[in-house]
Amino acid sequence: MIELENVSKSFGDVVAISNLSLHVRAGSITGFLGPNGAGKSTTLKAIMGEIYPDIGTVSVLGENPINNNRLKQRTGYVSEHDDLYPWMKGKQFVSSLAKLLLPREEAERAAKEALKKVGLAVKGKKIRAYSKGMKQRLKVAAAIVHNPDLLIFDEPFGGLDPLGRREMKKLVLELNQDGVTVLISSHILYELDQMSKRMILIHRGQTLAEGAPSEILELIDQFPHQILIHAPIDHLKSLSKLMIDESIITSLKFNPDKSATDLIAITNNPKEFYPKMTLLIAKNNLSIEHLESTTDNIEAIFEYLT
Amino acid sequence: MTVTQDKPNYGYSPPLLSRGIFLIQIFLNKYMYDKKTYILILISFLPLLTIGNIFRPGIDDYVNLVGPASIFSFIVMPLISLILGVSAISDEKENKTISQLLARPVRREEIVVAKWITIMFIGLIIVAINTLILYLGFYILLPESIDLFGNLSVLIGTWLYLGLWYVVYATIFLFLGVFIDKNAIGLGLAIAYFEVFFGQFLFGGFTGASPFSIANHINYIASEYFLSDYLSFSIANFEVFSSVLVCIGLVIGFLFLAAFTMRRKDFP
Repeated sequence: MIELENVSKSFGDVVAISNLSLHVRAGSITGFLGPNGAGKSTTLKAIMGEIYPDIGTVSVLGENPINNNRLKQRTGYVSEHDDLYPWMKGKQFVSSLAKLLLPREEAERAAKEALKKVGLAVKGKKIRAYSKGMKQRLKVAAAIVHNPDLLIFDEPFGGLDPLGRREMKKLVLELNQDGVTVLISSHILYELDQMSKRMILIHRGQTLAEGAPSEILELIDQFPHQILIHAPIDHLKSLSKLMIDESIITSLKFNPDKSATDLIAITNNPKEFYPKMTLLIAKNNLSIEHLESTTDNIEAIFEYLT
Repeated sequence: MTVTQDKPNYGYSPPLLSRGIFLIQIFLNKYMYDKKTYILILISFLPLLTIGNIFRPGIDDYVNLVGPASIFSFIVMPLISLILGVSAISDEKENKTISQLLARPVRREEIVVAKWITIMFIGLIIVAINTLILYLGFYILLPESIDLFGNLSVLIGTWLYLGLWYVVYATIFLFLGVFIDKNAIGLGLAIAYFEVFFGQFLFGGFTGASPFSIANHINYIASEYFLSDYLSFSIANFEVFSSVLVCIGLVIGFLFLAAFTMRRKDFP
């Protein structure tokens, strides 16, 4: 459905994407993951025909996307920006843009339906008064008003609260069930891994990995994970000894910023680490007050993978 | 891939004219809510501050206030044409709303032409209001200077003169707004003043009748067609019809350049 072959794009001295190739299959939800500044938005804009690649080819539904009206009747785009007309009301915004895609009378009806679908029923309120979540839903309504075959989302979860994120995920899944192919970008792994059937990792403008989320997660799991454990000092000492004996950690240190009740364990195999540690705690009757993975820095993971 | 039956894929595209009208509707709506529109109307009160010193006022003084080398042609008109022209496309780029338009089945050239029609419509209305404010200002503040209904042809003449000014310059500035991503207003201002001051005086050997000045061609046309009883202006070895062709050529040329630049442009 989307094919990018060896695409490069620079803006002055800045290389946004370099020799990038990617493939999106029809009917899928494809997650496009990369840290900020990796080239995700530039890639999506090349797919939407908003920028010309310096070299390489972009093909969407078998066609060149630039200035291609026929193609735009089949695609929808939700950008990362607040690209809305703030002086308009929600329905007016969706129907005004829908008139560029649908017969006039059909546009009004389709706008109502699209707003209903995204759960936005605000009457008489100007867009400038909308919350971030409402704006995001409005952008989705404008993108789906003509029932496109392909939907492209650029960081749709940005600025949304947990409830808003859950609703947005649900909406994306519903759209996909209706037969819409979805390409969705994010810089946060956990936003994409459960909903995507395929994931593409991009870093410094190049494709790093492409595959099923389980394969990608396995690759990421090889990154040394840092786990913070908070427990009473005696229990922490016992647990440290047991973890070293069982060889489930590569190094261990007390958190220098905190009291001696905080321990940082580093493991190369988190899949093995968590079940074994649970077993050790249960067998030895230890108590743990708090445990969390502090490896949430995706940029560090990408640096490690390259 | 399947598409469910109750959610048809429309695959319809409105005809070119309908698309154009819908685009213009969206753009016009923007100007109705834009503070700039109202500020540009308010600017026309500025020249009224200068009329207190006029001795034995007459209709000529009104023409002098809006005519060549006046506060209106040197300050107000460059501002109106610059602000509306440059911001036509650069506002869409800055606010990222250009993405919404580019994601619809609308050709980039259509966006430029629809914007041009919109700013012409808005600009000419603003100029009409501005000239009317000045005309009424003269009538109210200096009652003996103007015959309210007897001098209507002068009001229409000044509107046509400033309207022509606006059409030519705003089209040039529209191109500038498409071509330049940052500081287009600053550069436009420099061009406007360079053209108005240096084009007229420096290249014309300070005679004020250089063929290298756009303003001179507009003044020439106005003195022949719109305000022939009040203005006397000519460009040496130049027919007025040639000046008309210069203005038409500039408008068509820069509109074409703006559309061409838009077509080739990246919107990162």
